[in-house]
Amino acid sequence: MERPDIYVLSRLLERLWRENGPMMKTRLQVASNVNYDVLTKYLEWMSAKRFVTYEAADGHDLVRLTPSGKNAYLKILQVVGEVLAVPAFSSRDLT
Amino acid sequence: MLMVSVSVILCASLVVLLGAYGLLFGLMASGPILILIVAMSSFSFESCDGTAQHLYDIGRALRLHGVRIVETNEGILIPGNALYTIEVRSSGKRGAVSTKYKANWTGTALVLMLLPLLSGYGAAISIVLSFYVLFDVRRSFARLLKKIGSAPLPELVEKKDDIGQLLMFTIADANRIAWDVRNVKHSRYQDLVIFWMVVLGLIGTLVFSIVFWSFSGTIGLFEFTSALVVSAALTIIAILLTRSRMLPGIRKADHWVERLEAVQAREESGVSVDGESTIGLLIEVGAELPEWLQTRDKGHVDNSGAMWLLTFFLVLPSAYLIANGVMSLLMSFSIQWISVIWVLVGVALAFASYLVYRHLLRQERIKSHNLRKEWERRQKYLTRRLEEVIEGM
Repeated sequence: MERPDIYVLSRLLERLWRENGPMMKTRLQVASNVNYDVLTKYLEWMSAKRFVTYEAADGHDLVRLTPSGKNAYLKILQVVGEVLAVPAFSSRDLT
Repeated sequence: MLMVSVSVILCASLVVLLGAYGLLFGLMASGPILILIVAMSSFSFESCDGTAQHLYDIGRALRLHGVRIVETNEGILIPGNALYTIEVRSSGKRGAVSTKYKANWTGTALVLMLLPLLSGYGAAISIVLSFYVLFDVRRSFARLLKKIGSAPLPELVEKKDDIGQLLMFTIADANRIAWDVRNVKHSRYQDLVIFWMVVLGLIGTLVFSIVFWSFSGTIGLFEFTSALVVSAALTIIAILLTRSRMLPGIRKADHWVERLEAVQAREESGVSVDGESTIGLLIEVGAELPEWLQTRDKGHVDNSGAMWLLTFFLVLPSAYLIANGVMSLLMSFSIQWISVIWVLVGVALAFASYLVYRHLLRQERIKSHNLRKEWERRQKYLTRRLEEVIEGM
């Protein structure tokens, strides 16, 4: 995968951040509402970027967010927050 | 018979276009009502018993109790209904906080109250409406205070890092924008309904009365009732068409607010990890910004109470002068210079009103244009920065 979709990537990063620990791939797929093949491709890309690491427990594949992945999520959030944070709309004008 | 017809037409014209009449005769009788309206426009009370909560806590408490709020730079805005909003402001530090609750009229409420007021005889309607709203506001305040003081607030979940805080702040900002857009759409719909009721319901009755009169040469109960029925039917059709045209947009705006509020409540409680993705929703909001701005741009002028009032006071006297001048000319079947002067003064006043309105409109457009440029720039910035973030990974 050359270039990930920011929307899908952000959702995956957020869900892993919320888990605050290792998470089963199947659960991540359901929680993020993405196709399994798509999820696999994204996880491969994220693993190559060292955003996630894999673990195995009781025969299940577990995925864990790394500090680097958490930082990537924070960066995306900061950009979005920077754009939306300006109080350009004044509710007082609308009353 | 002719006198009866003339009386009916005069009564209809007076009821419908009584700007000057209201100003000349009704104003004196309605003086106390105007004072009441002015007083109520700043109807407020202050809580400074030392136990008042910080504004942030009040906002949280209200939201947790299911009250929809809009966070502004100055405080919290609680949309009451189409007639008023409640503003909460707080000053001082924790432990010695003074919290002020203020009710503000909406433009719709002002027009609704002033319309009957200007007819002189309709002042009673204004009194009833004023007292109804007054009681409604008081009841809302009582409910509000009960909710704030009823139960201890659950402690905020300690976020593990700054991501949680940033998520909460950003979703609150997005929610505020969505609320503004939602308010604009609702207000525009309400204003249009009132517009159709006034224009078709009242003015239409007058116009159709004149039309029927011109055909039959007389006007009685039958002609006047027919005019009322036709106007009522046209009003209903216009309102239904407006509703079908605007309802999808209103529902969409409501849906955005619901989604954002659900996510905001989740972020603040920190209880559930499942549900809609916050960052995904925020990125979607970023894509909606230009359309939301356009909505806000259009709604800005329509929702300005001052603009409503100014236009209202300028247009009604001119309408009264023109209508009465024309009616006098029609009834006398000859050129009476005083009637001609009335018409000319009315036209001049209407033109002056239009110039004033256009000037105000232009000023608002300039402000909105600058704002739109700023938001377009920000949306491009968002897209570019997100691409940079991806490339930098």
